[in-house]
Amino acid sequence: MDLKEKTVNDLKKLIPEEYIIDSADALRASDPYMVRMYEKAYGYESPHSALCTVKVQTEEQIAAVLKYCNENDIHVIGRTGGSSSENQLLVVDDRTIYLDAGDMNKVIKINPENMVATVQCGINMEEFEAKVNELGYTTGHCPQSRPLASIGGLIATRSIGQFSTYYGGIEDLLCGLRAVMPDGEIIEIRPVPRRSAGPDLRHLFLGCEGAWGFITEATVKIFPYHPQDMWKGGYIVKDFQTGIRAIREIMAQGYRPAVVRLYDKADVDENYGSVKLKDTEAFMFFSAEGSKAVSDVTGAAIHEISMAHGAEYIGTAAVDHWFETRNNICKVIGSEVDYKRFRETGVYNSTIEICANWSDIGGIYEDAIRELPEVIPNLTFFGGHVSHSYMNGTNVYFVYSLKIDNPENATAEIMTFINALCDIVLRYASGTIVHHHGVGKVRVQRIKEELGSSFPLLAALKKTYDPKGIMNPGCLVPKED
Amino acid sequence: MKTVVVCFKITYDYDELSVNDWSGGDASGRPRTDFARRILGCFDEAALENGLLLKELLAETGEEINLTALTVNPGYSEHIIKRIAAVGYDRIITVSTEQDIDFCPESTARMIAEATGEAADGTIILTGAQCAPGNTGLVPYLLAEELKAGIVCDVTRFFMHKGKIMAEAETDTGYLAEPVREGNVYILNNTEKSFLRIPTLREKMKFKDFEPVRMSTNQKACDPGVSFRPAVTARQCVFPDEKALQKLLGSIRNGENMT
Repeated sequence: MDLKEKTVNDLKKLIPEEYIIDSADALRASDPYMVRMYEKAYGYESPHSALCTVKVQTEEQIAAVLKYCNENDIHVIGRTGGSSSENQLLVVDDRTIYLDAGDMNKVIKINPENMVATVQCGINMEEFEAKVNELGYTTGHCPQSRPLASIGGLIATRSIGQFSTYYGGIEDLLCGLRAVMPDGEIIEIRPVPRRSAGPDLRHLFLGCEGAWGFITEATVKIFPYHPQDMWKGGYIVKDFQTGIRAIREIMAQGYRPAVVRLYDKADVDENYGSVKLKDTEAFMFFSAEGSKAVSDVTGAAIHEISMAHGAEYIGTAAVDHWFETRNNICKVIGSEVDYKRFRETGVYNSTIEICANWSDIGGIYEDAIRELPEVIPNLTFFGGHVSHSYMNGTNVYFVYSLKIDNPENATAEIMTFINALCDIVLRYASGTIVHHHGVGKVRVQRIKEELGSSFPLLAALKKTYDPKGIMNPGCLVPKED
Repeated sequence: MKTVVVCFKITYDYDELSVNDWSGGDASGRPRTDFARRILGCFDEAALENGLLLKELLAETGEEINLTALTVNPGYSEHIIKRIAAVGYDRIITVSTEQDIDFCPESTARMIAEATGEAADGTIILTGAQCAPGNTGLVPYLLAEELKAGIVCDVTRFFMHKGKIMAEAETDTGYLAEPVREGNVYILNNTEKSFLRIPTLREKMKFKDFEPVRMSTNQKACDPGVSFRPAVTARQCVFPDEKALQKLLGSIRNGENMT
């Protein structure tokens, strides 16, 4: 009996048969579509595929499956929505199963007094948001992947939403959680406003990328929902650096817009066309949320600071358009039209998000825009935008397209570009090569340089909590460690 | 030297329009497109790519050719023009008109005929099957009439056969092929290759200062003969979710009153 047959037979003793997918076609159909998307468009099969997908329905089933896998050296990739972008869900060996908790998608409790909601890991973020909206609240968490992503995966990849500058990233929203460890032990981090009992254990799971635990339940903050009181404004600034300086001043003065975005001309021309820019101009826009008093004050300050930086105010229509169409990408990504475009043009499109202090971010942007078209001859498009800002710095979301020479080896060609960008970012003292997609099996190649002398702490976490190395091998922590 | 002229139109990415864009159009009844991305009409994009493929086939026969892209379009986009230049078009002609010609295929055809001029006799002309807004699908046929040219519709590809370049056309009974002839208009539809190739940044940089041949026209837009006015001044628009869509389709199937 081969490993697949044995594993499936054993798992059927733990989980009802109808929740185990093991036929090749069904596995292919349930393959997370962001994984090796380019190669898939050409029909290249992955060198490795999962032994099966187990669609768990309860926390106890997760515990039973993990315990079995831990005892039998079966590797486990956990998933909920399946929208990961950094190959977190890529199977890299022949002894891996998918543990899919997408069916665990209930709202357990919404507590308006404490302003929190407790949900199962597989709840779709868009549905969760709609549910709390009906009650007059918002989760404040709106990543572009919201139509596809689930809360468990968003926590595991340390996600961020488009309104993060006001509400914070997922790390600011998560109050507590339940998770299952590789040996099947179920743990709970109780949701409390704050505690001073050693390091914050929530952070063991925020961004763990399934490398040592499976998040089953989360309690997150909710906020009053005042869409009618939202302030919006769009501006054209003379160049990208001027926009960065304006945003820095807004943040440094303590204002917290919800949406803070700054697009260079290339990004606008290629992907939006919403605003007509000349030469080096950049498009900057904001929204402010909260009660009317808060959003009015924030909006007035944004306007004053922007105008002081020589911006031209262009009203709200372009901002409204962005709000309405911002997640449209989820409708076409992985579609047959997308694949046909890949095949015919040979061009792969993607993004990479980096971050740095204010003193470094402008330099990183300029270096990247100047140097990468020189060193990457197959670059067909390159632009960028700022989308998440902080008191001490901001991110740049680089958008790129590459003409792939050899589709079967697309991942390696894409890595050449990613590595070249990482080289630039890591030249800067405050540059970080990953802002909110997670490390996955892509930027894991640079994780030691990213973390420097603190890398052994990450490696030790993996060894401590997943001593047999069954949880998502090669993700977040390089395999050899 | 042979001349291949590919006619194209720059339009808007209607898939990117929002609910408010569809509802918030002007009195003409058209949606608001101020914030929509400019793109090539999808059939015209296929025609442009097939123009390049035809050029490559002609080159195999040792034939020197001039590949020209031609647009009659007030919606000019520098970004798209430079892309077309960078992928291998020898010449791009833009015919500007301030007139609204979306529903005037006769005028559009006359303007194209005027721009192709006397060269039309020895020219191979490629067009897409149709393009929004307007979508009349008539321009290629009227153009052929203006030029007194032959016409081959539903062309899916060009290919080499026994040293001759053939056009393959889809018909109700299957695919037919015939040698490509000068003076004909070929309408590209349902093509094997439908996306225009994408130049690298380096290739694009060579065309940083590229300028198309700009022409103006004295042709007047014709009276389309009908008056396009919206039935209501404000369009009601919703994008239904899956559940609502199924309900809507069910109602249609059951013949229920949809008001």
